[in-house]
Amino acid sequence: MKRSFGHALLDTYTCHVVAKRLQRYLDGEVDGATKLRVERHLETCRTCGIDVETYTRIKAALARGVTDVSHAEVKSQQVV
Amino acid sequence: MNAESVAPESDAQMFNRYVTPEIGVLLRVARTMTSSRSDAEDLVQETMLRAFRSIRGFDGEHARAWLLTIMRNANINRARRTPVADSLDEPELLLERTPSDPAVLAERSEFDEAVRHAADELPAPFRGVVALVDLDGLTYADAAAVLDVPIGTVMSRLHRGRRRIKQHLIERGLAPRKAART
Repeated sequence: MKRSFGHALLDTYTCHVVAKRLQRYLDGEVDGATKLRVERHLETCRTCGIDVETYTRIKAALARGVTDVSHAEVKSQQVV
Repeated sequence: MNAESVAPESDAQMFNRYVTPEIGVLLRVARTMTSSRSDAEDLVQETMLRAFRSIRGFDGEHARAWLLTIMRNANINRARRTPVADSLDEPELLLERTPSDPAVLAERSEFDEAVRHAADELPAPFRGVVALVDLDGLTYADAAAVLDVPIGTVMSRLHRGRRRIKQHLIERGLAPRKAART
């Protein structure tokens, strides 16, 4: 039987499960239920919260264009 | 009124509906795929031309992925035509994207510098995915379309690339070591 959305909120992710979903969560690539369950875990887990803070800062720094990253590498992966 | 009485969209209308809204994204990604602004603009122009020519065959689904695929193929052809034209390893091209104003350089934080260094040191496959997702803001699906790899490969490379950057920051005391999970 399909569980209700509300019931899913009662489930709690472990740190291990959150770690496996963290990058997708940060990139907005998880569904709403997963997002809520990750956030529910983060409300009480400082260990995972540190991870989130660090990766969020990394993403922000990269988005500011702090790196000259990539270009030739992207191209080299395409031309095979 | 039945469906047959509705006039089909012209090529130009379809182009404006599906291609025009994606030009900004195409320019950002092209900037990542090429070494200069002019090359990026040429690539986008070529992509738009190809898209216009084939707009009749486009089914209206996932326009961005469709356009990114066209751009990937256009870039491959372009690279074959000019095999040594645009390596970003060329110092003068790197300088183009590097602020020259001393004040700007001075303001760049130690954290940002460390991220920059770590990202530049990443193996090429990781670096490419990090650039497309974090720099260009592509979704996993769109990055996969650009690189012609499965989404799982994008996720794996992205995760490993970011983890290496984080480790670099930890080693320099710029990010906290994580406590053991319980």
